[in-house]
Amino acid sequence: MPGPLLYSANPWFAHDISTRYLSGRYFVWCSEYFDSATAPAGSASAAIAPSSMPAGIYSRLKADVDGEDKHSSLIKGYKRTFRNLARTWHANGRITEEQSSEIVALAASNSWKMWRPMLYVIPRYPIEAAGRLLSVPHRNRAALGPELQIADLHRDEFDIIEIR
Amino acid sequence: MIEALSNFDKVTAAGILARAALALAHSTNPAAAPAVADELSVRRVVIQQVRKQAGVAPDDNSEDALQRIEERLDSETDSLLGEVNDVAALDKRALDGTLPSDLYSVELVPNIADALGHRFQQERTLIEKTIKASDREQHVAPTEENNGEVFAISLFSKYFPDKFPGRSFTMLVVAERRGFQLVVHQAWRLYPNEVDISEATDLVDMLRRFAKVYGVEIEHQGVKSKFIFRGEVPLGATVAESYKFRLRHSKITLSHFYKRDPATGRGWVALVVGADINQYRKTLSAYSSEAAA
Repeated sequence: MPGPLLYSANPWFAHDISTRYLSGRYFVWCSEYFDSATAPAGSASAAIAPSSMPAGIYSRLKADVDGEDKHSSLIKGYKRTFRNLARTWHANGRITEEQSSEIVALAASNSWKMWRPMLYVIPRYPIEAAGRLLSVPHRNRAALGPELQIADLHRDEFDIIEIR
Repeated sequence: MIEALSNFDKVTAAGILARAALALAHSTNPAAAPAVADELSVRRVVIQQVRKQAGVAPDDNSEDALQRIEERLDSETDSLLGEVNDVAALDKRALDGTLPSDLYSVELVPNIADALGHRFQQERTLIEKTIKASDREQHVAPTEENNGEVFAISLFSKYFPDKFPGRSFTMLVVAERRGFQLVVHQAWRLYPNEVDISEATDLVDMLRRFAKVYGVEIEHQGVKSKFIFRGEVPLGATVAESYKFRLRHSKITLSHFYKRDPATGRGWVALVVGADINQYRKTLSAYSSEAAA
C-alpha cells in the first residue's frame, strides 16, 4: 500500500524556473514510491518504468552532472524541453520575451550546476483531496505502473532534498 | 518557414512549433495542449512537412526518427526567432548573482597569492571548486532603491571532508561580481577546532567568526572592530586613510570591497577584514597532510 508521500526528482533548473518565472508554481511528475525496488513484488508500483522512477532519475542525473557527461541523453532532453516550454510560455503570454530569452540561454549554456538533481517530497493527501493529483493514462505511460502528475504544485506544499 | 505556419506571427508560430515538440516528447504534458484555434490540424500538417524535410518516413516513430523531427522543429524555431544573444540575455542574472556560479569566470586578487605563498596553486583549485560546486551561496545585489550603493558580492562555502575529522574544513570564498566575472578577494579555510561555525546564521556570519579568530582590530570612523560589515569613507579621504590598525610583529592582509560614486565623491567599504596571515599560515601548516606525515 503506498505511503503518505509522493516523490519527484527534478533538475535544479526546474525549481529555478518555477520560483523565478512562474510565481512559485510547479508542474511535477511524481510517484508513490521513491524506488520501485522497494514496492511490493507484483504490485502496480513495482511495474513503474525505471525512467519514471524518482530514485532512478535522481541517481542518473547526479552521475551525469558529477561526471560532466556531455552525451547525457537525460540532460539533452531537459535542455530541449525547457527551451520549448520557454517558447510556448512566451507565446501564450505567461512570461515575457526577456524571460524566455533567459531560459533559452541558460538551457543552452555550459553550466552543470543547474542540472544537479533535487528531490521533491510531497505530502499526498492534501493534493489528492483537492483533486489535483492526476493519473497519466495507460497508453501514455512508459510502462505498466502508475504515473502521476501535479500541474500546479505550490512551493509551500512540499520539501526539497538535495543529497550531496 | 513551414507553409502551414505562414498565417501566424513569429511568436505564435514558435509557440505552435514548441508545443508540437513537447507533444512528441510527452503527449500528456499539459504545456503541449493546443493554444490557438485549429492547432491540432496545423500541428499534423507541420509534422508531415517536418518529416519530409528531415527525410523521416510517415510511419517511422522510432526514437531516432522522433529525435530528428524534434531537432528539425528546433531549427525552424531558431529560424523564426533568431539565435538568443547569451550575454545580453543573462546580463541581469549575472548582475544579481542568480546566474549558476559555474558560468562565471574566476579571478583572484594578488593579495591571495601573496598570503598563501607556496600553497597558492592547491588553494586556487579548492577555491574554484568551492565556487563551481558550492554547498551554500549568499548574494548581495544592488537595487534601484539603494542607488547602487550596495555591492555586488557573492559568498560561497563548501565542506571538504578528510579521513581525519580534525582536518576536515569549510572553505569560505568571498568575491565581487563584475559582469560574468567573479573576482575573489578572500578565501579562507575554516577548521572546526579553530573557527566555530556550527551556529553561523549565514555566510557573512561565517566570515565574521573567521575575523574574530584571525582578524586584527580595525578602527574605522571611530568604531573599533575585527570585522566591518559596511562603512562610509569620508568625502575627500582615501580608503586607506579611513582605517587605523596596529601592526604587531606580524603580517596583515587587509581585504575589503570598496566603491566610490564619481558623481558625489561618496565612498563605501564592505566586509572589511584585516587577517593576521602568519597566524593563518600556522593553522594551514598545523592541519596540512605534510604536518601529519
